[in-house]
Amino acid sequence: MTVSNIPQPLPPGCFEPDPDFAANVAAEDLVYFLLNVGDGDMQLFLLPARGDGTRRALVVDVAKTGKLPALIEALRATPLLERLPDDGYLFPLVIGSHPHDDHIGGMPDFLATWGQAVREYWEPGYWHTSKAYQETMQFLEDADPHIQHTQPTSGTTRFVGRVKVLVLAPAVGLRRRFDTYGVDLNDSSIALKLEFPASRVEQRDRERKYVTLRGRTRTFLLGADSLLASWAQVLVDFPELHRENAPAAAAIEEALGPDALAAEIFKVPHHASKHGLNLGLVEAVDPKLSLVSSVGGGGKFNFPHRVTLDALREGVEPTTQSGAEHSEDWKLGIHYTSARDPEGDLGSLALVISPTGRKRDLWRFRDSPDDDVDLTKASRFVEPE
Amino acid sequence: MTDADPTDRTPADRLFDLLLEQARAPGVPEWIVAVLEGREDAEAYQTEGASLLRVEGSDGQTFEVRVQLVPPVTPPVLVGPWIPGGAVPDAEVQDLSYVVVDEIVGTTAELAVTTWPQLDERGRLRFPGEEPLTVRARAEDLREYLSGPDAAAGRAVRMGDVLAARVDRERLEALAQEDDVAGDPPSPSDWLIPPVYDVGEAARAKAKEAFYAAVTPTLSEDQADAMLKVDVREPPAP
Repeated sequence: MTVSNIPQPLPPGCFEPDPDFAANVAAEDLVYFLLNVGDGDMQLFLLPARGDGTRRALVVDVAKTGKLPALIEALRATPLLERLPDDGYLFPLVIGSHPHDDHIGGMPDFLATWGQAVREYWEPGYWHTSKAYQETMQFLEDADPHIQHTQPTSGTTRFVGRVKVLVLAPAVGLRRRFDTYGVDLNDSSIALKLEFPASRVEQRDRERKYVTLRGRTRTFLLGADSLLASWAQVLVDFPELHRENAPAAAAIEEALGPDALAAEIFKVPHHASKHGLNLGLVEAVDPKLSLVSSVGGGGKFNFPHRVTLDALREGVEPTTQSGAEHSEDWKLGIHYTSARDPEGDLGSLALVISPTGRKRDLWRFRDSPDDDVDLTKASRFVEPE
Repeated sequence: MTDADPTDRTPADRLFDLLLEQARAPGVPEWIVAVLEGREDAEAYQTEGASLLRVEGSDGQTFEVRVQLVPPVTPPVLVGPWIPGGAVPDAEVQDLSYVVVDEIVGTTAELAVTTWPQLDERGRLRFPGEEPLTVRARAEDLREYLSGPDAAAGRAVRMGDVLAARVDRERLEALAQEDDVAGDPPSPSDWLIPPVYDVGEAARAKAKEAFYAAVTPTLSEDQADAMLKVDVREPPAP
């Protein structure tokens, strides 16, 4: 039984060390990193290798300086990023979900290091008075027109290689109220759904055809720091359609999927604060893996909040009617950047995902929030006996 | 070629080494390496613009060499402290800190404190030095502290508010170190030294400037004057 907001240590035997992390990644695999930065977000997607063998990458938030550029340098020493794309754009898309320091505190440093390799930058268009915001804007001003600057709203879609990036929030209705400061800065967050693989055309010699892959792709929902007002708008913009048989519903379903919020991998909003999540949202997402980026209790705001974890657990494993206790978090697929096991911090995590879904390996790197990721300390999660 | 003593390599040699390294990647036709090493000659060379060389092989295939120089980042030229105007005495700003209400969760606010910003030669706020120190406060305590004797009249603290104040640096650094623990936040009076000025409006104006300058080119003085002189007439009433 789990009653605390402090993640319970995982039992011994959950991890198999393998110092050659890169050897476990096939060319067609997608790699997702969620770095351990305490209360904050820093995420990197390594896209599948293209025909020339090079990979590109997406960045979603850079909470602090140093750690992401260090990870990229570590990856460059492996076959995963040994060779950069010929066009120089390693990062076709970088996203600052919203201008809080725990999401863009390290963005100026990242852009100063890798800005020449960035093709497009997304931010919600909510101006903020902080140092990090000012410096990010100054970099983008100086980089113009080298970096395309975009403020997406719900429905904005970008296909990057085999990955589809769909913006769930902020909704247009929220976006139009930013100027009045009538919107909580957290609710300006760019929440995303990513789908992999997004490819739908099969090419056989000189023939090609559309392939229906509904329900067979891997999906991420990245909640950023969206709170109630934002999720309420998301539910309006992306209604559940699976009970509708009307032609219009079928057409929308074709475009957005049967249940736009359903996602296999759920990056829990706002560090599992009590305002970032409710039971209805968890049930709509129906995640197989839920990832929480926060300190493990304490910190500035005592994240993750227990009421939120209860909702997450109940959404994944309903027990209110039976009265049974919830299983341990790791059995529910709930993982924390702050988690520990008998050997210490589990630290940053990575998911290595094959397009068929046969492989969905979870790795940990045993770094503390202030450490760089050491790829040689990689351990693969295994279900203990 | 790459086995030579690296200290003997000229910049041109090093560029050529990079080119050869790319040419030797899997999937690249052998004739490209042969051309680069001088063992074969190309059919044609064509320069396009200032950054592209297109090389055609004997079978009609081409490869392209693109050159991009990345200029070093030049440190900004600082012209003096930002003067926010209002009640803040110009002569005092150098002693002040820039305090942003960055986040509010429930009853707790997180404040990010930096040294007072400078202006660069283009009028942009620059924050030389270290990363912000962060410290918590109860939002209600902060409201009361800022409102003074008429605390009931003070408005609620909001994210994005900015205060200009002197701080007890030693105390602030200690509190920032202690910040990663659960418990009651410190009182604002523990580290803020009165008077404390609300510069939120001026700071938001600078943020708005930064935003628009990042998304669209700035106007010259002439352009702005010309646009502001346009006589905007309301349509006649029906």
